Amino acid sequence: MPGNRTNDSTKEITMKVAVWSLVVLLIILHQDVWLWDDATLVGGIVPMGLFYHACISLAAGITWFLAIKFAWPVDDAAVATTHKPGKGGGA
Amino acid sequence: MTSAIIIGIYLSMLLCLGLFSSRLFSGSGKDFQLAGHSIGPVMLLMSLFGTTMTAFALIGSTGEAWQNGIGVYGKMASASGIVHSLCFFLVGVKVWKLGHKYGYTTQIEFFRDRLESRNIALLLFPILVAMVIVYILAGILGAGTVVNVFTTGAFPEMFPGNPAVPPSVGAIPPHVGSLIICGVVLVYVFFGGMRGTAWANTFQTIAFMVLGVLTFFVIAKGLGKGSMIENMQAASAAVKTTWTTRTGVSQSEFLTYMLIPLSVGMFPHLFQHWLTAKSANSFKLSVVAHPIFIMLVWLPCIMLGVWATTDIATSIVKPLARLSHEVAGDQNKVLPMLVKGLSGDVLGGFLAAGVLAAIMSSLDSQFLCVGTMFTNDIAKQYFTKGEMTDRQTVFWTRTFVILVVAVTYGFSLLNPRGVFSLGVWCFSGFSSLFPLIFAALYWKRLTKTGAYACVIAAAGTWGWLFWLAMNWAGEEKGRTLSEYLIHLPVGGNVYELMPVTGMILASTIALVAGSLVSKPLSNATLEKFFPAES
Repeated sequence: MPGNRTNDSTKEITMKVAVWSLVVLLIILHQDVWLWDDATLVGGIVPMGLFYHACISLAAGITWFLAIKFAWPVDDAAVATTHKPGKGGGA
Repeated sequence: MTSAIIIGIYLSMLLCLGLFSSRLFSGSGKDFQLAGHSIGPVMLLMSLFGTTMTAFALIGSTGEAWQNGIGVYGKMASASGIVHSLCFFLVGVKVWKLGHKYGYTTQIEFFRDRLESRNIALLLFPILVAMVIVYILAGILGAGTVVNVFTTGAFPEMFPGNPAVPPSVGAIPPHVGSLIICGVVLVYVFFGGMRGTAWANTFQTIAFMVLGVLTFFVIAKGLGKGSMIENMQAASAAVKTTWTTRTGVSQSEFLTYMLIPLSVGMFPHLFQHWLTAKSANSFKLSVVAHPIFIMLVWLPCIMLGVWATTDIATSIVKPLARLSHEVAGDQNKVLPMLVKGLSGDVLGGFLAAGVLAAIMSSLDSQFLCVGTMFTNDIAKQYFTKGEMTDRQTVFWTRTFVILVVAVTYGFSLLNPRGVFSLGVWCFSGFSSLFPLIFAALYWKRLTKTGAYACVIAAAGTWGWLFWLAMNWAGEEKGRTLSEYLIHLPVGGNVYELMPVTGMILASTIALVAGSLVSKPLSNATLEKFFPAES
């Protein structure tokens, strides 16, 4: 159905834009100037700046999960082999 | 002696693994160099993670946290969690697709086709090999230090050492330790090829992650007489704020440090690992889990590094007090000393094996990669007219692997500067070439001239900045090469930038300008790499 196809395509583009926006946001949040001098110890153990960046690592994992779910660039089934096996590549 | 025996057993297990994996070797060149494209998601994750985590990640991060505080986590670990996965996603998957389609094994084979330039190897090969060798050197030096520290007192008659330098008494000297590690890695790479390397990487990645977390808790428990949590709280409270904040790091330096993990996009050994994947979907687990795995390894190392600066740690681990922040190389001894000082001999041996696992899981890929590059990009192209039987391919790859190990080990005897300093400069060099791989995959207008200009500009700025850094480190006593920064005056302020910023800027400008002033590549090449449907 053409209508459904258009809707799917719009949704796909929206999700891709959302995922890449999250990546950009992650890069901006990584530059946490607001915690630069904060010597608070989270739980009395982990310095605030370190705790924040550990959270950034976890957020990166979540963001990349969304990326593989909604913006994966390659369809395995569409990849064909054209080289001769055992010959190596190149010119 | 117990630690030495455990390290010996661990190394023997690796040798067995390498020899066993060789039983599955089909005899083909592709099987030796790419494990027959048979690597699934879990082994790919372990291989990629094990390969990117080196002496630099364990010993270097702990040492850098001891030297400069927690800022190193944001500069390297969380930044890598974002940028490495970005590279796997944008570069790795696409490289796999093209490599699978056209049969590439090395970066140069890809660039030769993509740029219509048979001789790109003559420019790119020496640069890539030189940088991989610097990278390997960092691993070999780190391995020598670990073996030295963990075998202290094991062989008093064979290695009497110097009583004024405590880790040396009865310990296997660093150059002998490095030789042993090189020998073990060489054997399993020689017999197992890429399959042996992938198996060993998986085994070693599990080993260093489990043992690394265990190290952390054992050391935390040993830092006092209270419960583990109480000890950790007491140690953290004793750390001066210089180490628990980023007051010693400028915001512009922190920002530009994020360019360094781009190096992953141009590591030739990762390029080869990407091509071992069974399918594009095999990458998905690596993309997601990589940032979390980095956190699991780095977070404990950083905490250990800052705790090592406290009186609590130095009163329990006496040798720590003899280390100086002013002596280049002392920071590399922090983790081995903590482990040795705060765990029993048995656990100390296991933990040493874990640290060595991290180092060896990078060395193996690098040895195999350089051997493959020599075979495919030089021997095959210039000495056998593009043709090589499977037997010849395996023979030449093995021969070059041995040569690379021998030459690099020889360089390590010259005792170059600290692991971390070498790592940062090496990574910066690879990062400066990132625009080349990115443009090759996504910019149709890239030309041969643009690519050559990019490589020359990257190499030129790297050489110039490294020379400036050497002079600077010579004048500033106690400073390391990794601390050298570019100072950019703008509107009355001076911004500190990582040297990699200048390198990437120069290589990108050269790439774009060189491409735009030269003739576009043929339609046949553009259709090959940018087919209409994608």
